[in-house]
Amino acid sequence: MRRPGAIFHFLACLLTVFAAVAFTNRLFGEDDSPRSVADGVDRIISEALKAEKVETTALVSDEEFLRRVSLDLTGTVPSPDELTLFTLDPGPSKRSSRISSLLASEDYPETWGRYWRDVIAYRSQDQRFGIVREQLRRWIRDQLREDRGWDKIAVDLLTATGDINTNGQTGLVLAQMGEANELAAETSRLFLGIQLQCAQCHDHPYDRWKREEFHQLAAFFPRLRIRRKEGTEGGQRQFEIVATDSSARSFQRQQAAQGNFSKRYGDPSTWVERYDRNSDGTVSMREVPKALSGLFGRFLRAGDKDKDRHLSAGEIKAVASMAMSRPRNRGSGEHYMPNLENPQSRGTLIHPEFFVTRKSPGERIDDADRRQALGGFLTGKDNPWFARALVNRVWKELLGKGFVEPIDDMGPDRSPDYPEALDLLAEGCRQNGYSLKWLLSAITLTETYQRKIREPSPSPEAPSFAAVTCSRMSAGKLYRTIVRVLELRPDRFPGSSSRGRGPRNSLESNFERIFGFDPSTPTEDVAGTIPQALFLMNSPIITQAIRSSGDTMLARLLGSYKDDRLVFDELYLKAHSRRPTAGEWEIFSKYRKSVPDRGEVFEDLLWSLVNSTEFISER
Amino acid sequence: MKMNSGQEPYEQAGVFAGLSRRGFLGSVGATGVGAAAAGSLGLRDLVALRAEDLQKKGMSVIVLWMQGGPSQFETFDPKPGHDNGGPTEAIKTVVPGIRIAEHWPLVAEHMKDIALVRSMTNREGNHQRATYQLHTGYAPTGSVKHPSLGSLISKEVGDASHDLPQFVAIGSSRGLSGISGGFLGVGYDPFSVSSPDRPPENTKVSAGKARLDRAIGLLNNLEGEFAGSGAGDRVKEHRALYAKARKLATSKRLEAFNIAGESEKTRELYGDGSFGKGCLLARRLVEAGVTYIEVRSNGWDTHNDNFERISTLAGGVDRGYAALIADLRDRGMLEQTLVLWMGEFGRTPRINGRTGRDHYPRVFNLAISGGGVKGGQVIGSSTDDGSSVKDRPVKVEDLFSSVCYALDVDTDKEHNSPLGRPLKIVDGGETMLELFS
Repeated sequence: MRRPGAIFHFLACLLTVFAAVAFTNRLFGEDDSPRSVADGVDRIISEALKAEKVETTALVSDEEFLRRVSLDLTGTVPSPDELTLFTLDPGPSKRSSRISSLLASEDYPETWGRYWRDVIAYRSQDQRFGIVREQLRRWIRDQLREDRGWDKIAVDLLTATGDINTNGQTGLVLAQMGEANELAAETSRLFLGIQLQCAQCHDHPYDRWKREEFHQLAAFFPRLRIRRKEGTEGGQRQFEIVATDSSARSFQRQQAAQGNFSKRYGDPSTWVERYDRNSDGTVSMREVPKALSGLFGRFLRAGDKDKDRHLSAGEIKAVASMAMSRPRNRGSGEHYMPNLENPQSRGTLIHPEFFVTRKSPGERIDDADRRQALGGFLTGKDNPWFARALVNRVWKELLGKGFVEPIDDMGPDRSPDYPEALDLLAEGCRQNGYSLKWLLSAITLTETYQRKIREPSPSPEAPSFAAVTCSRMSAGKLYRTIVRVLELRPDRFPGSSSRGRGPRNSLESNFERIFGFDPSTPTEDVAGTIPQALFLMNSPIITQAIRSSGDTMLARLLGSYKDDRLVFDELYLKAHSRRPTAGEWEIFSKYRKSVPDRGEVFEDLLWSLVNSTEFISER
Repeated sequence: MKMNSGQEPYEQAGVFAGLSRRGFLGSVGATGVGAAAAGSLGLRDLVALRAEDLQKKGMSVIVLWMQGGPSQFETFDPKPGHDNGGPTEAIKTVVPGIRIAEHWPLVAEHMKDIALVRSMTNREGNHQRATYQLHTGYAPTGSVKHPSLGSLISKEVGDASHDLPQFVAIGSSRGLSGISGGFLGVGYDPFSVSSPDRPPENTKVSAGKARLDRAIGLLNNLEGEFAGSGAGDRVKEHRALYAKARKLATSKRLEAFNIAGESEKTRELYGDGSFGKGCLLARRLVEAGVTYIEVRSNGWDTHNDNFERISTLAGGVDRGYAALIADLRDRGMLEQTLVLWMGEFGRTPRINGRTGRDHYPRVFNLAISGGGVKGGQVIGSSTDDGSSVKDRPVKVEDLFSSVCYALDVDTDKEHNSPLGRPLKIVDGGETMLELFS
């Protein structure tokens, strides 16, 4: 070589080439790449379907694919231009390229941030949740943007502590009021897909879970509390999560001291026996030992009904039982399983143990250690349910139906459809650091995901995934789609606040209010409601936005194209992301004859498109 | 009778609605029962005999909901002779022996039609949880969303084919977001009317009925393509939903939501406040065929300035409540309409440092009229210092049992939660038979 630098230059180029090849190999050929896992999943499912002689539907067209994957990954429909470009693109791997670029866009973390927020929010039992709702969405969005592993996100959500108002990470703990039993139930549902809460009060009626196992999970959470922040008054709603470790320790010291005390001076019920020196059936201050005088004084104040400064056995008993009826476990920092036969009693002390792997972090340990340990157990290699729950949930979100339904009711007593496919995806996801982008790629690359829709078969034994299941758009997606299609300007609507106070009465929050639903609900249980229909049919927002005159999308379109056929096609491309069929044009032509006004006719058409089942369906 | 899972539409609502073992066998008569026992009359025949009766029963429920927890001391269980009673005086009512707090003079005049329950007792002191429990009869748990009583009753007793929604909520839904159709489905959620002065949201067909019908026709024709491509059931459901929405938006009965249609005399009776107007709207909706209506009053969470604030709040509620009873009675509707006045808990006997009272579920009160209830009586009592139940404690399930009794709804009927757990309409509970004897 003539110049020494040239070698390095050459090597650098070589390295770049190798890196590119390696990268492409990762995407298109190595063992746990999304592509090869997708192929594996397809193989398993199509073989099973062939064996049952079930016909699958065809793969979706490019237009259908683009609409479906855009909604699924970025929460809105493609524009007519994007559609045209995509359908004309001759590249053989355009679908997988499109998947990658959608996942790289900013809309991906935005839309999936809303999804995970809703998963948590719709199960919130705390009326203060509104304080942290928006922060939670932003925090999740930020994690997703960096493709932080779901295991890390889960641990962060479970171990959150400190200020609530500014820290979205605390959203899950707040949603469950910081209560041990509620947190146990939600941890199990969300991160394991196992419904454990039936076992809170009795051994689960048909699953294997025992009552003790539920409470062992709750025992990871007894040392946290949500309280008003120091120095804030009633009006300002500022809260924080705190650990009660120090008060737990002092409680334990107090208990020990009391134990020693009782050993020396006896149970109050024995006082008359021990100290009634003048045998009048009562005990007075003079008769008790000095060390007992404090406690005796309190007993006197509480129970000396006849005010004679003496306590009879009966009066002593009454005070003792009053004390018993107050819960003696508060502040103990430990979890007690209530005694169902004797609810007034303390219950059984339970130490934390993770029911899936039987691992425990030790006894009487601090809050941070407990919750951190639980995070580790949940996401450890020996717990297969963490990855399975994630895969099942995301699969259902993309295909309309999970391997197990309802999606958060899995566990060893359920039989998933295609368990090998589920495990292939779960293992691949785990190997890739629980990357959500990896999982979304793997699923959307499958042929199974890309099948046309078909109604679920009436027979429950009919195998799933021969087709994709039609399902309804979430409120957030519908909002964005309408804004895009009708070219709305949300900032122009009354109630939308630009003063940073949050979108309380904004157009988007109205959509949430009217169209929102819990994303964990099975698809067939998500039905349209009258207020939803009324909104799309009659609301001034919609009726004004579809007008054929003024500053509207339709007015602009009618102005640009004199040919009605072109307007018709363009409206279908915008609203339904596809070209209309000949049959649809026929119907419209006939309709046109009965309505002389061009503007009116197209208003009616646009109204129909927005009010159709197809418009509100995600796939 | 088929035990439907809670998720399937109750197709035969018209005939089977409100069918309860007790009421049913009672009315068929001895020979009918005998014949049934002998096996010669099938269930279908028995039902046919009763069908007309069932349709005619047509009872309704109006709940006057005081959000925040109304103080029993300043409503219907004053304690003027005790420190805990604060400055609140008691006034006589038209029923000798029954006194209520001074803020309710108009209600006092109608005490003959009102039964008071002064021994309500519960364990929930948290707004959200107590509100949920007082609406569903169950304590909230993360695992299942219980349907509210309004959803259950409108399903059992209501007319599914009616133009108007059978469960309507009037007023702000702040603090009441947990109240829904639960696992019965969104179709049984309350239909919300935020203000009695305005028609329900989005029911105004700005372009006119003819154009709406025309557009719906176009929509249905165009949807054929999508239906054929594998979404047939969805399209069918969608069409049925739109037909129902259209029916509501174009219904003449929608006029029931317009209180301006009332005479000036009536409107004066109910007053100008939004609660009073809400009561007037409720009466109109009952007449129009709605089964269950909740009229909401907010602001009863008086942790500070308890006495001042209640004095202000009670003005509108006293007027509306009294007007409603009087109006229902004058129109001969009181027998068929159960009216329940209540909140999610009561308030502390001890007055706190801010002249307020805090949450207190241990003993609180409510008031019931109409629907066959014998007014002019008090059920249960609280101790002299108002700190606990003195006699005849009444739990939430007992209250709900009594409501179902009045409406002839079978409390033992079970629905299945989405996880397969059977849940009765009311879990346990004993009807307060004194209400009806």
